Amino acid sequence: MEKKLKSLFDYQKFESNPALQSVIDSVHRRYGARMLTDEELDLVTAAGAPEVGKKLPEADDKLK
Amino acid sequence: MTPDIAQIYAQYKGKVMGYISARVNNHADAEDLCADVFEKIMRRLSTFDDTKASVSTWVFTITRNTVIDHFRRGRPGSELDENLVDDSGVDEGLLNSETLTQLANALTKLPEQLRDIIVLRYYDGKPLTEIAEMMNLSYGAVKLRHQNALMLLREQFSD
Repeated sequence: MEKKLKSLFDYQKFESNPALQSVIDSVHRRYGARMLTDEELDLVTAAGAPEVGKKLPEADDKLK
Repeated sequence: MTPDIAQIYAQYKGKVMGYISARVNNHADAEDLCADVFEKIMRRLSTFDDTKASVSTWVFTITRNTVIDHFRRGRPGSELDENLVDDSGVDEGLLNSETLTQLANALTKLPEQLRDIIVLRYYDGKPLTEIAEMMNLSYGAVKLRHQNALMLLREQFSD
């Protein structure tokens, strides 16, 4: 059964049967925020630590 | 009757490229593989037997095997999707749109959590440990639900 499901879902990636795609999309909507792929996670990691909001040293601080 | 290559190309180019692009990150490699697929189709056109498979299944099988060969050649940084491996023993006659619709109908009859586990496991290829985390359930609970889902689906898709 597992092999059959793997084959059918793999074929779905080629065939895009609308009825099955609708079921898949409904599952993905429920877990959307948690469906990041490895490639997307790599991009997040590559972006590095968020420094945007960090306060830059002011001229007065440097003089102290 | 031998299908027409121009017609096959027009009808399946998008599907072939879409399937390959979903697995091969490098666009140039994906285009090369797509060209390989249609070269193989052209060479094997005279051997196509419509009593054994539909054109769609035949093109899909050539495409999938071309992707598997690509990964087996060991391109650096490439990893073979586990769903592509070891599908021996699966009747290729099952690979048609009608069976996909039957699977969709069977999935909609499953309780929501069981349906989610099947899609996340077999479409997305996620391990049960990760699915447990996504669903905020214990690994044991997901394992049990996974077995139940397979049992219910087996009743509808007898081997």
